[in-house]
Order: sequence, then C-alpha cells, then structure tokens
Amino acid sequence: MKPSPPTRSVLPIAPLLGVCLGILAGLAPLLSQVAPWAVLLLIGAAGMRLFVSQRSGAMPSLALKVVLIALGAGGIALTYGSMLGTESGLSILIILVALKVLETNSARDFHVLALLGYFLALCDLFFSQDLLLWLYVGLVVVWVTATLVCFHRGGQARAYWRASRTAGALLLQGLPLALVLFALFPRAYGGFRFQFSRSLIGTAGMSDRLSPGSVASLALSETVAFRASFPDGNVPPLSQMYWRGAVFWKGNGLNWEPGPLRDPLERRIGQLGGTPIRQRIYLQPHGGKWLFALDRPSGERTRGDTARFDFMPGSYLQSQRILFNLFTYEVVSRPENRETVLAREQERAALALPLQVSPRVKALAESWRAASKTDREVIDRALQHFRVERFSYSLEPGSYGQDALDEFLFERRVGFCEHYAATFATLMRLAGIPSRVVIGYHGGELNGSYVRVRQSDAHAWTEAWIKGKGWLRVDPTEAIAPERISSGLASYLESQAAASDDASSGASNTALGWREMMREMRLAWDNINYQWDLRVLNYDEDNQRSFFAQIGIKNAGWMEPLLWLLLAALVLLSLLSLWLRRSGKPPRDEIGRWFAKFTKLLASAGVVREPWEGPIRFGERAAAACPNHAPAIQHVATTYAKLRYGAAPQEPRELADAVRALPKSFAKTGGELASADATLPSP
Amino acid sequence: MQSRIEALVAQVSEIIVGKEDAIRLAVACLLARGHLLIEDVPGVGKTTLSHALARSLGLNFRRIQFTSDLLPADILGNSIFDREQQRFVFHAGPIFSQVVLIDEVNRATPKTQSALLEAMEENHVTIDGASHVLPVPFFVMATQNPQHQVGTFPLPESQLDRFLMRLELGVPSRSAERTMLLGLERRDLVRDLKPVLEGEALREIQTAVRGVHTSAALLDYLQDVLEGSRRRHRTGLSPRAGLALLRASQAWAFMQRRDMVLPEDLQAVGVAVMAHRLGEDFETTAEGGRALAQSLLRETAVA
Repeated sequence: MKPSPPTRSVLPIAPLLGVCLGILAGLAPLLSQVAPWAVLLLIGAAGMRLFVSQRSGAMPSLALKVVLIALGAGGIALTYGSMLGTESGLSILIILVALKVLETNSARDFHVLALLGYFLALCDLFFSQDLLLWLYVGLVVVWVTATLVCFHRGGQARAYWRASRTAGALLLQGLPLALVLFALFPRAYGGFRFQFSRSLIGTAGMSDRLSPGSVASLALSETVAFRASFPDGNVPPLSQMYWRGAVFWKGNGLNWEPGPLRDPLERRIGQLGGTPIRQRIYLQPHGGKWLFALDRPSGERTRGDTARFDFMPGSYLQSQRILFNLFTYEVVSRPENRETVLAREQERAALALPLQVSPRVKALAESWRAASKTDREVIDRALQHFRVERFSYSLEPGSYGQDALDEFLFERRVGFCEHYAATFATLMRLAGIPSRVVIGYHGGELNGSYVRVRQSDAHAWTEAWIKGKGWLRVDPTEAIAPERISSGLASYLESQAAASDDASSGASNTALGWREMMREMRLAWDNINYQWDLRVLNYDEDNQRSFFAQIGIKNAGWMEPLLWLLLAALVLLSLLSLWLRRSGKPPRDEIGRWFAKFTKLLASAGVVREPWEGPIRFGERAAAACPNHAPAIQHVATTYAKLRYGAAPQEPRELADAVRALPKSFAKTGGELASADATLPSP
Repeated sequence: MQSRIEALVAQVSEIIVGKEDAIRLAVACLLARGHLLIEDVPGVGKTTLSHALARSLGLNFRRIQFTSDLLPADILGNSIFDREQQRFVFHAGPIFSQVVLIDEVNRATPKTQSALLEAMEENHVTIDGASHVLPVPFFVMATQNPQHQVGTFPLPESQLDRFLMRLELGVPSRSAERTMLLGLERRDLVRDLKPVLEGEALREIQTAVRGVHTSAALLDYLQDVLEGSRRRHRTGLSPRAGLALLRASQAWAFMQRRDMVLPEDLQAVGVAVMAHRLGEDFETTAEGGRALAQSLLRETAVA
C-alpha cells in the first residue's frame, strides 16, 4: 500500500517564505519576457500556500491542480499560440513552479523548489549578460542557498542571518573550483554567451535609413555601442575618430537610404595611405549587420582576424550574419585616401538628384557654382553659408514639413547633424559635385587602453568627390558647432546649458567637479564591464586554446583539458579539506603541544587517537597496545589529564619530562593492536 | 566515601544481574541530585531496580502507580476538615518522601504529570495557598513504557528535560538471565536488603560532588558539544541540559575517585543525559535520540 501524503502542512514557514521570495527575485528581471498572468498565478499560489494552507493545514486537492494545469495550458495557447520559444517556455515553467509551490509539503518538494529557484535565476542571463545582472543573480543564488541552510537547521526565521553567512561561505569555498571549471572545461561552442533574445535588440541604435531626428533620438542614450582597443598602440586623436558605419547614396531631401548600388567597386588595397591603425572592436549585439571601423577600413588581413565581413559600396563593412551576440573583430584602417577613379555607376548614383527640389534651393547651389572656380571652393562657400547664416545646432530641431530641405535652409535653420549632412550632400549634388552621406559614430571616450563609444556618439557626415583627390570627408556639423566635433556631444551640451544659465555661475565650479567625478566613476565602471566582457564572457574555444598555450599545453584536444581539470579539482578539494581541518583546531598551548607529540609518537606505532577520545581512555588503549611501555604511557596520559583538567596550577615541565621519558620509537606489537579499537561507551 | 558507593553498586547489582553500567549511571544521577527516568518494555526489572536502590539508600520510600484516573491530589495530598480541631488539616500525599518511585509515569493524564514535574522542579508543593517543602534529599525515579504502547500520554519535551537522565535497561544477557532464573525471587531479595548509605552520608557526598573541579578546557569541550547539537538539530540542547550534563559528569568523576572532570566522564554520562533531550527531534524515536547523542559525542573533538 502506498503511504498517503500528509494532509497537514508540515514544513516550517520561514524557509518556505524564503524560497518563494527567492523564486520571485529570480523572476524579477524576466518580468518583461513572460506572460504577466503567469507571474500573478505564481504569486497567488505562493500566497495561498503560505497563508492559507500553512494556517488551515489543508493542502490543495488534485482536482484544483488539474484545473490549474488546464487553465495554464489554455492561457499559454491563447497568449503565445505555441509552446515553442523562450517566452512561452519560460511562462510554462512559471506555471509549473506555481503548481509545485502549491503542493509543496515535504523536504523533497522543498529541495525541488530550491533547485527551481536556482534555475529561474540563471534564466535571467538568457536576456542580458550585464555585469550588474550577474551580480544580482549571484545574490539570488546566495539567498536560495541560505534558505536551504536555514531549512536544514530547523527553519527558524531568526536563523536567516547566520544561514546566509554560512551560504556565502559555502559558495566562496566553491569558487576556486568554479574558476578552474571555467578555465579548463572544454568549450564545445563559441563562448560563454547563450543570449538569444531578439526582443531586446533593435530598440536603440543605428537604422538603415537616415531621416530627420534619427540621430538626434540617440543623443541622450548612454548605451554602449561598442568598445575598441588598438593592439598596435596607434591611437588617433578622439576628434579624428570617425567610425564608419554605413554609406547612403540615395537622397530625397532630408531622407537618405543605401541606394541601388550592389557592387563594392572601391574595394582595392593600395588606394589608401597613411599609417595603418589596427583596431579590435567589441561590438554589442544590435540585431543588425552593421560593423564599424575607423575611416577607412582598408581590407588588409590581420593576425587576429577571424570574423567574416563584406565590403559594401562606399567602403564600409557589413557582417555576413545578423548580430545577436557580442561580436569581436579586427580591422585595419588607413587615414589617407588616394582614389583617383570614380566608377561610372557610382558617379551616377552620387549625382542623382531628389525628385523635387524647390527653386530657392536650386538657385542657392547654382550661385555657389557660378561664383567658384573649383569644387573645393564650392564646398568652402557652402560651409561658410552654414557658418554665417545663423544656423543653429539643436537636439530638438522639431519636425519638418513637406519641403523639408527648403524649410530647413531658409526658414527654421535649426537642425542636428543628420539635417546638415543630408542638406549639404544634396546641395553638393545640385552644384554638380558627387557626394554621399555616411553614418556611424564620432569620437568616444578614451578609457585607459580602449575607447568606449556610446549611442550618443552617433553621427552623420558627408563625403564629396574631388577630382584628383578622391572621396573627401566633409563634416558640416564642424562648421555649425565646432566644439561638438572637437570635444564631443556631452561636453557641448553641458557648455550650452552653462551658457544659458549664467545666474548660477558661482555654483558651476562645484557642479563641474561633481560632473567630473561622476564621469570618472562611470569610466571606471565601464572599464570593469569591459574587462568582464573581454575576459569572462568572451572566453571561447580560441581564447581557451591560447590560454592553454600560455600555460604550456600545446595543441590541446578535448581530453587533455579534462584531465587537467580533474587534476586541478583534486588538488583544490584536498587543499580545501586540509584548510577546513586546520581551521577547526584551536591554537595549541605548550601542554597541548607536548600531548600532540605524544599522540604523534603513538600514531607512528599504530595507535591513532580519535578526535573525540579523552586522554585517559587513549592512554589505556595505547598502553594495552604497547604493553612494554604501559606505565610510561599511562603516566603521560594521567599527567596530561591532571594538567589540562585539574585544579592545580599548570606546569608543563612535568608533562615534558613524562613525554621525554618515552622511547623514541615503539616496537609494533601487531596482533594486540587489533583488539584495542576505540569505542564510545554505550550504557 | 567512594567505597560506600561501590558497596551500593555491588549490592544493587546482586539484584539486577548484568546491568552494572545502568546501575552506576542511576547512582550518579542520584549523587548529582537529579531525577531519573527509566524507560523500557515491561518485565525487564525497572521497578525492581528502583526498589533496590531505595532500600539500599536507607531513605524513606513510597511508590505511586500512575494510572489514567489518578488526580494531582492523589500524589500531592489534600486538606481535610478535622471535626475535633474545627479546622482543615493537610494530609501529605505520597510525594512527601525522600525517594519516590513513580511506576509507569506516562499512564497518567498530563494534568497529573505536570503536578508531579512541578514538584520535582520546585522542591515544594503548594496546596490551597499553603506551601509545603519536600524532604531532603528528594529523589524521583520514574519508569515508563515505550511511547508507542497503547494507553500512554507521552511526556512533553519540556517535562522530559526535568529528568537528569533517562536509562534503558534492555533484556539481560543469556548468562545473566540464567542466573536470575536459578536465583531467588527478586522481590524477596529486595525486601531483605540492608541500607549501605545513610541519609547524612548521601548528603555529604552530594555536596562533595558539586566541588569536583571543572576546568576551562572541560567547559570548552562541554560547550562544543552543546553548540554541535544546536548546529545539527532543530532544537539543540538547552542551557539547562548543559548544566545537567555538567552535574552528571561531576558525579561520575567523583565515582571514579577523581577530583576533576575529564572528557571521558562526560562521554560516560552523555548518552543518558542527552538522548531524551534530543529524542523529540523530528522523526526520531528514543532509539534515534540515543543515536543522535552518540554521534554528537563522536563528532565533537577533544582538544
């Protein structure tokens, strides 16, 4: 007959509450990824288990659970339409956890709940692998472990603090082993990342068309776009860092898009000059194919280059697949351009005019053309026009109407870099100069050895074809707001704010100091994040191989790391157990040392003192095992007992003499030892 | 003094054959001024042991058989109106004697049990507002059947704590049983026992036991044991249990003719003192309590 399950609640409430809180805490970062009603169901189930079942003792019936399963399955079908996919899978998991919470009423159930808590916490990392999230998940893991410890200590709420200290100590003790596993466990797939969410990506960042406001909308985003290091130590000045992202050929007023070109005709090594700048770029996943490189990527192969990418018309790079993971690649750029021939196809595209241009705009461009002898002069006139005609640079230029170009040039004169780039390129085309719009990022923040580029560094500029010179970068923004280019958007905005706020100039010094400190803290934190990305998350098969090469294992297959792993684990565990044994013993005084000498001597004769064994009992056992020296042994034992436990003042010399009186080694007496096993009295 | 204790042990051992360890523990319990609980199945000599002990101690002795209809007044006594003196006169119950043998303590209702245990703790009883002091020495020996037998009211944890020790006698060995089968009727033997330890001597010994030295090293060990129990079990040993362990160890050390307590002494009495205090831990039985106490001693290192 099967034993019937208990119908009363038998678990202590504190750990039960603790594990429910742990599950909910693990769930918190997932809230936007799962069906909200599933979470509500879980909270309801936890509440019912904790406050209804715990009090009344009535566990929910089978019928209720079956109904809940049916409702949950129906809900999933209605919400997602399928069981496949991360979101619906997670929601199903949550429903099952809710049911488990509801029926938990034994130690075994409790352990299952704790394991589910761990699992849910780890699920957080599906969606982001930010360092902060890792720390949070670590905290949840400590908490769930503390709950387990608390449960096994009887489950009183007040024991939690001590339990969490124990849990922390336990996890810390496991840390060396985790590190060894991390370094040595064979990587069968690329890297430690398993991020596969599409929903978080593509909400911010580049887009594949340029329209008024598309860059300005990013200007306040602190999100990191990518980080770049310079392995050869050749770091250009920040104001010269134009990170090329994409080139737009087809323009219509303020709206630009890639255009019809397919063939990357310019991809020819040797047309670029200047010192090569090797960059290693750690690109945050953005759900697109854009890759970034300093103006201009040369297409030279590099040593660390493993990634595959294509050259697109306009000398920019594109990944061959959509980027959902941190993507690392190396690229070489050269600052000088020595192109001489513009392909017919490209020239046609670079001169194509918008469908409709207002007469005023056309007249403006033609007047420049007429007044200038060279193309260069036209460009200068255009820039001069922006400079003197009270154009202003603003994050919030407002929206433009039907004929945006005309309105921008002659009426409002307020814009962000995309307005200027788009307008400038159009005007150049009207003046007969082939031109195109480039988008990407400009500058960044230098943080030690690497540059961090954020979404707010997004920028748009233009390139114009000058005969004999090739494509020439022209940044109209530099004409409007030179400090935006020389010192970056953030400080430009700050100086604008300070200028409009003269009254508080006295306080601005401290405010500036604060800002500076905040900036430095931000950079330090970013550096930690960068190192984390670089060294932990990016630790893949290749890195592992080079790590092995560094410690002297060449051409490691998968067996060798495993063997090393086992060896390292063995060493670590034995070190740990040694340490645990040591740390349990209080420091010995002189009497203790003499007695330890005594026990050691007897241990060499085969009589080992059990940790719990008192001196007299041990003395008797040892005396029985070594009858030749029985009186001397018993003398040591009684002397020790007297000194250690007696009321008389302690004088170690007596014990020292007694121990010295023993022979240096004992003859093993074999058969008698076996009969003298240590046993506890059992009255 | 110790030789008289040896004589006492020897005399009782003649009645209860082959149970010298248990008898020594019972005597240690008495010397430590604690009360004794003897638990075992019927017929192994629980009652005979307590009889023999009481007789050999030369103390006045009463026996109370606990039943489910026993009332507190039946053991404590009550006030009865005396016609001649025209007032209430207190008639002391059987508890007013130096050695009280409670047979089958877990057969009485909790109400009666608690009256008894209160008297044991306070050393006096209060009836109708008047306080009556119990005699000195006051030693309660209670026997009980294992809890799973029909018609018993198990003593709650808090009340088990009042007994310094709990002993199990167990079935005698084959040779001991043979001796018993061949010998005279046990009850007759008990009746003929002569006291070997007078009341005054007992009191002296009890005072001397308190004077046995307990060193810092021993107290460290004792506290390690207590902490170990608290770390491992839901409700570890209480401070009262710690004190009980100390007193019992002192008595044992005294019986070993020592003027200091050694870890060995604590280990000798440890299971008897701790088992019933740990036995109520979840899903453990009396056997479980013994196992817990034993493993506790085994896992606490002597420095």
